[in-house]
Amino acid sequence: MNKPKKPIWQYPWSYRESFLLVGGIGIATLAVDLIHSAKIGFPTFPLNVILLAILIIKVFGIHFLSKKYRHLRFFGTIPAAIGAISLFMLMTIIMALTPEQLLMKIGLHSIRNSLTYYFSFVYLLITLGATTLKRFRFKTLNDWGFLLNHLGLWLFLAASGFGAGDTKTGFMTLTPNTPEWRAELETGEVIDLDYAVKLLNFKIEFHEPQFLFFDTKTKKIHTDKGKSIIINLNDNKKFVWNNYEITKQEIMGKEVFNSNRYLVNQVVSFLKVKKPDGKIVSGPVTSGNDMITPVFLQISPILSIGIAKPEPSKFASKVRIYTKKGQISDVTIEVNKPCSINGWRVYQNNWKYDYMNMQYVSVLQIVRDPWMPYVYFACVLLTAGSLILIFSNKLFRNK
Amino acid sequence: MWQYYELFAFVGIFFFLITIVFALLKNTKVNKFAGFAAWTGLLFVSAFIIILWINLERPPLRTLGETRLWYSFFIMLLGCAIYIRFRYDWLLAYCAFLASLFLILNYVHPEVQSKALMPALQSIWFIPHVIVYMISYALLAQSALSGVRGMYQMQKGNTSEDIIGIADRVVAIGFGFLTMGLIFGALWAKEAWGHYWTWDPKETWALMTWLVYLVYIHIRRKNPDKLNLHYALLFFGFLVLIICWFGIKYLPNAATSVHIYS
Repeated sequence: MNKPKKPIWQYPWSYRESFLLVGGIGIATLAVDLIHSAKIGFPTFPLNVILLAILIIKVFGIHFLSKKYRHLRFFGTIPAAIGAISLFMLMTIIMALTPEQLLMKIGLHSIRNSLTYYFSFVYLLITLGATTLKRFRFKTLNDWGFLLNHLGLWLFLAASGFGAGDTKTGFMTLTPNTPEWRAELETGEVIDLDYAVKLLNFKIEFHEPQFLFFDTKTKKIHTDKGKSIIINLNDNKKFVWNNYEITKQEIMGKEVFNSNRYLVNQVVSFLKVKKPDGKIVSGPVTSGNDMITPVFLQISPILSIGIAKPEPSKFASKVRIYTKKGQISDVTIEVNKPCSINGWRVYQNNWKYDYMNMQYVSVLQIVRDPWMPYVYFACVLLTAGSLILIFSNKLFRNK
Repeated sequence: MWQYYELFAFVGIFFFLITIVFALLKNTKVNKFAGFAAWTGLLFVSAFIIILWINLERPPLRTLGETRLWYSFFIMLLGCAIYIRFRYDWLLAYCAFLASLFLILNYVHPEVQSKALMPALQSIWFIPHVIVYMISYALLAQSALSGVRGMYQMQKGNTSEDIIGIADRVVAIGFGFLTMGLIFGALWAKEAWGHYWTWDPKETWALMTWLVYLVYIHIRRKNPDKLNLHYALLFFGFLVLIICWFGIKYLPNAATSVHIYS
């Protein structure tokens, strides 16, 4: 016999009520977004802390009041979680499939700066928080796994979301031996820092030059079955392809590049090619740089040999840091190896070559993120929770 | 080094095909050798990865071709591990098929193998981030296969096998690795670019994949009887995962992604 269908909004709420609730939130906030067409910024200190405190009080309120008002129990249930995840997922799908230019045309500056996104985010935190408190116990390994995963995710979302407004990102452009104490923020504002950075030395290394076949007329990379052919001349080996024998005669050293503004940041090599008919062609091949075009060695009316633009394998800035307290320290900053100065993380961001003054210019990125420790702590909780999820699994236990 | 790929791949595929045939020939003498054939094929794939790693002087984890190699390796390794534990012939055959498929894809579309490793990839997070993702992808592929198998069995009215049970276990482990992949990626991004999350198209699709499996885990708990929905979710989850892995480059807003494989 079929179970009689429960009237809508009658306790206990389930999927229907959950989707109606998130549908209502989504439609109402989207309407406001489209009418106002305003870009909403992330709240900054102290407003973000106040809003987070209100959210925490609300989550605890739902938890404690749910004993008296049974409808509030809904927020700690799976249907509520599915509704919240679905709304958040919908925002993610729109972000994943829609270019921002298209969103701007319909009045939305960006999904991340819309009221709909904020409300979906807050609703997710409410349901996640209510679920976490509902099963706040440490009796079994599964309890630990549940708590670490749910609490870790809540902390990660709350700290990274509410802390986003306090994160400042700026850039410093350093020329050799000139102290710099200003940075340009992403907003365009130039700020004075409480420290100065002087570029002592910029070091850049390039990967081995990559020799390739190019189309003689178009100068595009020649392909065979859709793939380029790499001419491997490493260790001065001879490369043979379709009866062409290619050997490298000489490659100019880095000291030569840096002594001439037209040669800097490029590879210059001399090649000798024995063609299938036995004739020999030889000559220079260069990768070119921002100032001059590359040079190719033509080996047939169709084919030429050239060098791909050299890719940097490593670049680093050796800098001297001066603080207002009079401290002076020398550090090397490179990609993936940032340093910390007075609450700022300093990253090696980019580099360029000043052809006029014949010197490297280093671009550093500076980031201030006071909420970072909380996010890192959340990552530790989530990783521990994931490990419990993996190793407490029945797959690793007896049948 | 890739010039020797054909040799290792073809021997590997040969043993995987034997695995499929032996696994499907139930109640025969050769059936018990299916596991042996699978391990032998895996040995050749592993040998090529090790030799490639030594030859490139870096972990072979940069290009799509290299990640496909790991995918073949992990899916077969997990297939073998589950075979030891549960003796599911069909799952071993599926894994051998999928591992062969990725080896063939690498042969048909050989990726340009460059020694160049860009500075942003030179990080201690590189190996753990990619490896946990590859393990997770391999596991979630198996769960999708279980989903297809489950739907087929339901159509036939055969519910004797605990297909959803094995899918649940595999998803739980795969989801754990997927979560760690996201976390490691976020921490790496913080060290390299100063931000955990930039809503790069790859990150957005990775989050979507994670959310779909999160929904699966929750719905399984709340409605354990809706098997058709669960099987469909397993399949859909893997579809999103495939888009995240190598489908994003065909999407309109993916041109700016820093995760596009070279």
